[in-house]
Amino acid sequence: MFTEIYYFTEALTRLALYIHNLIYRPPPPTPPTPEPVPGDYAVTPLEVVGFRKGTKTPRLVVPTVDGIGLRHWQDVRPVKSQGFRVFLSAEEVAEIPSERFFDYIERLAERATERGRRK
Amino acid sequence: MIEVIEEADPNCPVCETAKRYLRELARKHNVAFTVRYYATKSVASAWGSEPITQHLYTPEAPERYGIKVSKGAKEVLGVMAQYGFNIYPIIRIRWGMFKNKEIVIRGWESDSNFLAKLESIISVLESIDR
Repeated sequence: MFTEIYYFTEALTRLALYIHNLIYRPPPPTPPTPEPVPGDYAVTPLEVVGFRKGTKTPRLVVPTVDGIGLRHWQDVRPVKSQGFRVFLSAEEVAEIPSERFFDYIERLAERATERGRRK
Repeated sequence: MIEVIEEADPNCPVCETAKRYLRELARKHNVAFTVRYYATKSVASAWGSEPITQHLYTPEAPERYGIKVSKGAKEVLGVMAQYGFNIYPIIRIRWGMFKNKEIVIRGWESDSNFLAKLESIISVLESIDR
């Protein structure tokens, strides 16, 4: 008698668990978001022309490109301890196309500091 | 660590609107914000301190950018440098561990595109967080 009750209850719990799993399914695992690759840019990187002579600090000269939105020749001035300073006007800021602009600027500045050390 | 500095003229009304907007932006994004007053009539000018873009309005500036100008224009630039001419407000957004990375924006536009871009700059820098 007791064994029958035991098996009966076990069967009931198993059935209940089965129904529960049917109703409350776990959500499907979300695919991992791809991390941004450092070399991957939305805009094509510019070529660094060189340094302008006759100035005290080394200056990086960047040519104009329509995709970037810099209309005039910009100078990225390297400062102490691998820093840099970018001068922009309000109009140029309004024309910046992509958010990856900053990565790009930083990359340029890194190059500038490297060249400044070599000189 | 992001810091926003506004270099302003005490007599310019645009600087006041910029200050209000930037203060709200700084409160929203939890960013340090300070205003520094530079102009011919400010206290800072009496102590000889200059804004960061002062070197842009000098007779040597056009040569630096590879632009040929006449002798008269250079004289005018010399006068501008003497009287401390500049465009205000100047917005400096600094980030990095030593705050040695900096974007300097001269001037202000009430255009919504410009304001949105300013906010996007700060949000992008927050995401970089260096």
